[in-house]
Amino acid sequence: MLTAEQAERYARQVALREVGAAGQERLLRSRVLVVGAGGLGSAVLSYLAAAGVGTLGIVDRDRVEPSNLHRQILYGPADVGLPKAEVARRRVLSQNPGVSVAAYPEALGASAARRIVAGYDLVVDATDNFPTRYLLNEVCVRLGRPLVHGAVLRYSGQVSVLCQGQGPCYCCLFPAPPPEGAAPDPGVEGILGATPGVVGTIQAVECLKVLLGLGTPLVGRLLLYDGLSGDFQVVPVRRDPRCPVCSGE
Amino acid sequence: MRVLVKAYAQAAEALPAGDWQQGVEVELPAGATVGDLRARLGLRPQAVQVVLVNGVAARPSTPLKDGDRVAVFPLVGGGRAPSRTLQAGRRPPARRLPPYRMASTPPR
Repeated sequence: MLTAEQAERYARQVALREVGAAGQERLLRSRVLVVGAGGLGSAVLSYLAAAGVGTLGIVDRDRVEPSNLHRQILYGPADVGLPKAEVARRRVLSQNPGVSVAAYPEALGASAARRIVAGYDLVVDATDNFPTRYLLNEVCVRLGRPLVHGAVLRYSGQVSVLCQGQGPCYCCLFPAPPPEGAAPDPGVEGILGATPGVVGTIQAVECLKVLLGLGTPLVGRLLLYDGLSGDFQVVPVRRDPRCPVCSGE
Repeated sequence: MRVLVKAYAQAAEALPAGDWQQGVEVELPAGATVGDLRARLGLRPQAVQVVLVNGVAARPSTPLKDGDRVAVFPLVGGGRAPSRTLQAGRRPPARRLPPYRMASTPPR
């Protein structure tokens, strides 16, 4: 049962015929782990907390730096030097004190990833590096958790819902990280401030769809956003029957 | 054989002129591979472009067959390097968060 306060707070969402009070209660019981509290994570966390996802976990080992502030809207100048996961937790709780938030200000190793992911229903890939992305993908495949993938660079980004149903995992689409030095470096290539907001917000929508069983999540489809042209394009993707990570599962 | 190549986002910039967004049919000799296609399109072997054949990741050695649908798009997502601040050893001093009390306890 929603409390009177919850019914008021989430009224516009409960008014959606496909959501209703039952859907809102489901969200309040849901647990989402957001890995990476940077530009993508700022948008995902804010919207999931606001929408009433009852338990959120935030993994990030970094501290806030001045160069983060043009896109990582959870933070301000006063937060520079503080651990992102902790500051993000506070900020998200101030946006919605009615949800629980756990902070994991640590590097995600294999055993930590398994232990932490096991406590959540769904995982958001808002990371900025390939090793963590491959690790998360493998853990999500093994534990059967949907992985809402997002990535940004310069003016573009991509979103897909991976490790879900008959859809592919990250490895089906990107079997190996680019060779050392060939990977695009955001510190060199740059990133337009609002781009992770666009992509992270779409990730948040996909999370809510998966949790609520709404519409058609981006499973088997990779959404590409090109900010310069303003285009959204969808690439059909599918599971690789020979994928070393998810085949034979 | 002919394969249909579509380029997404800014991948088309690296390709010869053509309506890559709609898709361009490329004629290749029988037995051609993705590597041959990349060479035909002028994509450097090191170019960080993702190539999917019928929706699945392809390697340069992946064989192509008539009617295959090939998607080419830029690799997005960071190969993160330490920021300049960190490289220069000017990491901002670590600070501790003062104690915090939540406005209300979350519902169980």
